[in-house]
Amino acid sequence: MNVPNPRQIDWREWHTLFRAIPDELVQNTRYYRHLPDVEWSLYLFPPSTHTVYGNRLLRKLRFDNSPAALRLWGFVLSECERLYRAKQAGMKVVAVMGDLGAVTPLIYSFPNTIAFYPDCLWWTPFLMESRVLFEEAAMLGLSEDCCYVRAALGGFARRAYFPRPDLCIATVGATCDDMAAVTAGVERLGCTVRYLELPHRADREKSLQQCYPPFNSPPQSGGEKDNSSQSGGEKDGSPRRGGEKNNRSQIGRDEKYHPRDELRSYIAGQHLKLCGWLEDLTGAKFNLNRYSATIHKVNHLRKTIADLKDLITTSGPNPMGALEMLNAEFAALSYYGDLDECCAVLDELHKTVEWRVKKRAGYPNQSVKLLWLTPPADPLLLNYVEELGGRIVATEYLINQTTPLISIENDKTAQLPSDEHHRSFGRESIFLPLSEAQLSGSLISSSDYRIGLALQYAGKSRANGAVISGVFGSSHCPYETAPLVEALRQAGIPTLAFDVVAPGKVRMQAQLLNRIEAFIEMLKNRKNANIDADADGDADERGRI
Amino acid sequence: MSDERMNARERWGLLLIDELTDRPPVYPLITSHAATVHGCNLIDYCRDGRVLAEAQIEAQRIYGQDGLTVFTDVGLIAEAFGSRYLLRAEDVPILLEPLIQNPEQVDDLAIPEPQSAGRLPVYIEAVDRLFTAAGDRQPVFAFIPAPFTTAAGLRGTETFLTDTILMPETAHKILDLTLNAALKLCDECILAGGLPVLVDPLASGSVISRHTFKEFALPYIKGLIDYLHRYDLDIMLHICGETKNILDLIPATDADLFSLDKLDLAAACKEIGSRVRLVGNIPPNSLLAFSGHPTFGPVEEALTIGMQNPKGFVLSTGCEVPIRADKEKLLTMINTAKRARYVEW
Ligand code: SF4
Repeated sequence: MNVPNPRQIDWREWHTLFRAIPDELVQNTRYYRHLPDVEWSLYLFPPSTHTVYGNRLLRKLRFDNSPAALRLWGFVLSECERLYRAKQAGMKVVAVMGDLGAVTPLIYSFPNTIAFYPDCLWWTPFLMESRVLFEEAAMLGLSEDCCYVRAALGGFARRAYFPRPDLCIATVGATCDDMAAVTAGVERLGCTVRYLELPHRADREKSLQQCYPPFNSPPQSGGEKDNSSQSGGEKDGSPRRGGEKNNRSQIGRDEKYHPRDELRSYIAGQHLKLCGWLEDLTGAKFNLNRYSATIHKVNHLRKTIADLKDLITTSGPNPMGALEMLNAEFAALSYYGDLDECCAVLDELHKTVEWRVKKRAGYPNQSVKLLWLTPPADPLLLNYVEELGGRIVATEYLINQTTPLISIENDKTAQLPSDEHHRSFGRESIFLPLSEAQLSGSLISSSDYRIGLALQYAGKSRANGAVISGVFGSSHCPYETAPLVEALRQAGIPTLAFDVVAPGKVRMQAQLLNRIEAFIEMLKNRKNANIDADADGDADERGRI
Repeated sequence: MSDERMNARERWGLLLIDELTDRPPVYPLITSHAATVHGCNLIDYCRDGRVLAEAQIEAQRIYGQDGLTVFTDVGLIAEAFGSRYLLRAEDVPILLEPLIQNPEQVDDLAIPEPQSAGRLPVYIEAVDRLFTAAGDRQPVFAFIPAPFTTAAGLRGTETFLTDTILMPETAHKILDLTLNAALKLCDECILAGGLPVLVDPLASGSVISRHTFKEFALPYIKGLIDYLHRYDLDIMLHICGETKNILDLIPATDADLFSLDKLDLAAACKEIGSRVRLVGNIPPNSLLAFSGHPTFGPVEEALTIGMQNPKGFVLSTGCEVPIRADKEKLLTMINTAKRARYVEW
């Protein structure tokens, strides 16, 4: 198929265009390539196929028109079947709940073992335009006062969205209350859940701040100021991040204390525990070579995603849709059940985007640059913003634990140890690099960290505005959204925050769409006004709303 | 049944990926009978997509079967080409006048547009309405008259059967046309949210020989299924009446499910059950009030046999539920089947 001009098209057009995709390509686009060719492993199909099987929202979405995007959608939407097929083919399926995207490299390093993320079922009610999973969760005690992630509980109960996992792991400790409630519900259904403890990162420690490799420069505004007692700012006006006194006294250590190392070791110990469970499950011993090979693949994937995110900020027109980018970003959690194929899918997407950026090809009329915080449970919102002229140039989707490269070359303290090292320093030292990545999680510490990320991303992407899509009833949203909004606005970045409306609440949805429309319109006016002011030689002071 | 956790969408979804479900889907072919329970006449049912959809929703509410069905009559596509059908208030439409009186007409025929020709828009509207109303919980099956059956409606059954012997080229030309028309209708049904089900009653062993099936029906059924398989859709083929003489040819159509009628279920399981999911086959006339047939026994028997089928099973009727089927009998059939459980579940 020729490379088409970038456009966003609907399911109807993809249905027709699909006929032009060569048979050979359809037949060669398969998952689980290590298995003999079986008809069920094909996945290059248009959205209309998935519509017929109940993903009703696809009839309303707009998709990128590249073959790479088609492949990405086909891969993402076939995950449910893939998990069942994995079990049928004798593979072990591990359910990973909570902020555990960081541990999936370890899981995939075991032979014939894959992971999936039940939490991602929170998209299913939206994709299906259905309340089935929410109603099920409500019958089990989790209703509208819990995050949409409660759909995962419905999924466990109904036994029709993923196969019965061979191992179910979840987090305790610095983890989300809503997710904890879901996990408890899963246990009540009779499913054994094993827990890994995530420690609080305590990142108001100055020494810790300096340790963050990607964020050496602390945010210049917003986060430094004492905005609310909720966020732990000091009343005497000292920087909020100077809460070390409190933390120190809690931890009871002196100035030389390096909590980062301790946290890392602690998490590595948790990973070691997981390693033992996986050995029991698979009957295979942990193998350093296989682990190292998996880490290399995961790093490749993470780098591809990071590059894609960079490419998207190009000064030319928008080279890829926000929905495709969301699919790409979330690949880092559990690779949609097939790491090798996932790498190939994202490589192809990357090539397409790179080519478009080089040719300055992209969608016309998307000029309002936006930072999006918290993944929108309703994918339609991303499309809607784009239709109005918005363009998502940066995101903070709460999956930061899956973004850093797992350092095996550069960080001396975090090198994959040799067998000798491993004998002398204990087996968990193998997992220190993985633990380091896990420590980057957005939600395992104070809101300041996330605020810092938001400001950094907004600055880097030169966003004209920010959107925070929250979830009514979810544990982090009410606490975090307010300081985020405040910090962003103080930094001169107009910010719209709202709760995503549950499927079927048509009137509330209409109201929300109005707000988004007004926001984008306002940003467009500001942009035009700034251009005029610039033309008059005025300094561009980004105003506030 | 209130204690059921799984809905029809989930149950069918698992069946189609070779997974075990709580029980087999229970899907009697409730078509025009829906008009009876909804209290509308069949002319409105055939002509108005809203009425058709509402009747189906009402029937599903009463019976709780697994799946919604859009089907009026096998003449649908032929009528859209230009054949004349008589719509009747109390019964299904019948062919009044086939379009092709003269083989030369064939070259001038255009493929009907699903958005505008005949009652095709009614169909699309019904699928769309059902999918919008209940597509998250219920699959919507859009019955598509297969090329052979439509050809018979275009030419007149007897004339077309004669063509297959005396003018096979003309027969194939007509079949090419009807295949393309069916493809076009399938596309629109898919876009409206429906999963095409192919119905080919005229290709039944009760009507044609094995040879005629092989030469004139099978290649076009397969053509249609190949097209739909390219979209990764799982396709059910329904052929009513006798199919014993063509049973071994069914896997060659590549149908994923075969809905059978007057055929020994155990024999079907044995012969093709490892390759094709079977759907069937409670005799529809047993659902008539005064048929004298019991309902419970045959359902139990079908379940005992069908649930052993390696590739999966759907409890259904051998053909359409009669328009004036007895409500209680149909409920008995459905509820009996709903009590079945796969022990491994
Ligand atoms: S409340 Fe936030 S962190 Fe918790 S499950 Fe929901 S989205 Fe995830």
